[in-house]
Amino acid sequence: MGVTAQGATFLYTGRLPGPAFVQVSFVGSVVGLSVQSPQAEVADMTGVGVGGVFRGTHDPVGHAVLVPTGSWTGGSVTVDYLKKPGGGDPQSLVRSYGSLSFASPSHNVTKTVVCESASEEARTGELVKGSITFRLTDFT
Amino acid sequence: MAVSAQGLTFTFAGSTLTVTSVQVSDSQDLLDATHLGIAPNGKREFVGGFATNREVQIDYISSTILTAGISGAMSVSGPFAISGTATCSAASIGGSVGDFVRGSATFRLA
Amino acid sequence: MLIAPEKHIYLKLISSPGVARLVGFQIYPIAVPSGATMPFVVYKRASINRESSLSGPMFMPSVGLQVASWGLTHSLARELADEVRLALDGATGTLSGVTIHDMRLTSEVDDFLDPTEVGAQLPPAYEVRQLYQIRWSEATS
Repeated sequence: MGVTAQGATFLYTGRLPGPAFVQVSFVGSVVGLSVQSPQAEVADMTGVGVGGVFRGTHDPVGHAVLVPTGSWTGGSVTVDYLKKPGGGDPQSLVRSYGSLSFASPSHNVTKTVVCESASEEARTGELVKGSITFRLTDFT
Repeated sequence: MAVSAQGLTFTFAGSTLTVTSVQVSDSQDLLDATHLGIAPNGKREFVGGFATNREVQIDYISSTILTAGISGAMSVSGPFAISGTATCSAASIGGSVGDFVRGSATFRLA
Repeated sequence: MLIAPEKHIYLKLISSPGVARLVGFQIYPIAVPSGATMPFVVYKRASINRESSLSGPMFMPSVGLQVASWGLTHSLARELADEVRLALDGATGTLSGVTIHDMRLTSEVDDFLDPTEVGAQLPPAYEVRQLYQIRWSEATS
């Protein structure tokens, strides 16, 4: 049986960088949310001695030696939305950083993020819609 | 209280046709504004988009040939009334053994 | 007095040389008067379909008219029915103020009547019963 995301609430509140406290928040009707989880940072420790060419090491041919560093890299949240009356220019959110939360009956995401990019489009016969991408800074 | 359709008259471009059926219909393209904030089992939300012009479809008994593409003043009167400038978007006419010459046409009001 | 569309049918039949040769003026509506001798023709309305528009009646009904040709022999009844068919099937036009727009023979059946079965002292008779579908204009006032 599948799970539904209907009934979700989405909130993002952030502040712009700089000494002055300027708060910004997202206004829109969310129609889609996708989370690209952070990737594990991996160091490639494969040595040139693979296959025993040099110094008779025991690393077999065709096997890489990958070592997780324990750190993370990447990770993003993309939000697709329909513009609401009163919703401002999404560019005003870009470069802000703050807290993003998405809560549905089946799924919860709460992350510290940076608003990396935003786009909006208006087309004849369609509602105004946009997309905002947040970069995860919270890897816990 | 129900109203009889008898007495409905149809006129287009100055000619009154003997109609046996008059159908007026409106439609509007709705935009789907459904979002994730709607609870499970909730209803979709729609907002109005472009309004499709009103259409009038008639069946008539007459040898008058209506031509698609022709515009003119149109009026329906009697038990209900509508009027305006209309363009014939489709028309057909035919005859069968033992029957009247019958036609049908569709108009779009501006 | 309103003119009945059947008057057109009657005039059409009595003015047909083939029909008149066999029956003269013995063309009767619904019932045959006593004393009439065969052969004769009897006609009656079997059905009617009146159509209306939204502005009222069309006054052009489609009528099913039954025309029965009677004779003492089958060959005579058959010959009379054929003459009636030649006079009516496909005929249109205006007679005595009555306009017929469309007239078609749509069915034909043979029948036989033996009055002695019910104790009558009359000879048996043969019938050819035809049904014509006719669209005609009727009086509007």
